[in-house]
Amino acid sequence: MSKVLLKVGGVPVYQDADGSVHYVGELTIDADGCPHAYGPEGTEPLDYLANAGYPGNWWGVVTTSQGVPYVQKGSDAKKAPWPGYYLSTTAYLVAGYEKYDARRYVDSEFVPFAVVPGGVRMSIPEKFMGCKVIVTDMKTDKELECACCDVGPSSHLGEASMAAAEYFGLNPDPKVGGSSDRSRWHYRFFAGVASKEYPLQ
Amino acid sequence: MIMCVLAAAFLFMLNRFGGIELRTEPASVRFFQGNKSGEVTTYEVKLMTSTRGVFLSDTGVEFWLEELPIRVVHDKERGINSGNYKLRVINADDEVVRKLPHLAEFAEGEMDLTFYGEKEQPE
Repeated sequence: MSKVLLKVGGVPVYQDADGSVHYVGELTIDADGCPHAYGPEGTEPLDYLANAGYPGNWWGVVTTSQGVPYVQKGSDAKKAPWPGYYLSTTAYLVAGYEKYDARRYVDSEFVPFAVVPGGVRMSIPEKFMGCKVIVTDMKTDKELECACCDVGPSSHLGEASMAAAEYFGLNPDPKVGGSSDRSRWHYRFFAGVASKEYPLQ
Repeated sequence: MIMCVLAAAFLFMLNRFGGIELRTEPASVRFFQGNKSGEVTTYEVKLMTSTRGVFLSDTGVEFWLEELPIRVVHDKERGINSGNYKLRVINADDEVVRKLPHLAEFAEGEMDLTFYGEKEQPE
């Protein structure tokens, strides 16, 4: 038996007896965590910098102590795989890596993950970061089991990584890809239940 | 076409985590800005409804809501500053201008203080 936890833009977000939270939405692409998602002039990043924030409120890139986006540098290709680009961040932080190391963030280009809307995340006490998620394409019944690795706007239902989009055969381009069909994509978050890939945090 | 509307809510996203919410009955407008940690309301006022469907604040700021015959798209992916409804802010005072959410550069429109968005589904 599902109960309505909250509504986003009039669309219900449900919670079932097993505690899982689910809703239907589109599949907008979140490029965050990909080390060439954002960059300064002279680079060719995958997404518009404004999708990572603006001066004083950078939500999608690492900033220095001066509050400006950090530019990847150095010869360590694992720590800085895209020198000259900004370092994009996910809300999920991989343990064991420091702030300016790309491995600290979940790479949207290669890791399928789902994004939880901020308001949904705050609606129940259970942890969402790292939790198990099942995303279903209701047009084909194809399912993806993945982790929740980022937080999205409270006003939007339906967001996932570039790799998740590619899994479903969608265009993974964060500027024009994904799916805007709001009745097609079902997201079920098992908050409090760890995914296979990432521990809860 | 300026519209007369029944009770409804309209959302105009100006960036990934910030935007304007206009409600028509009772009329009010709210500016909000967030990030991955949360969201704050930066401006919120009750409005008076004029017979023409224009909404007025007590400081004389006007919010003109218009339904469009064709959807305007400034951002295909997230729908930022895009939609079937246009919102114009007329006689904006300093507070309104200062507190308006940052408009994403890639989704800028043709006119200042004019934004595009969608009607929310009814409750």
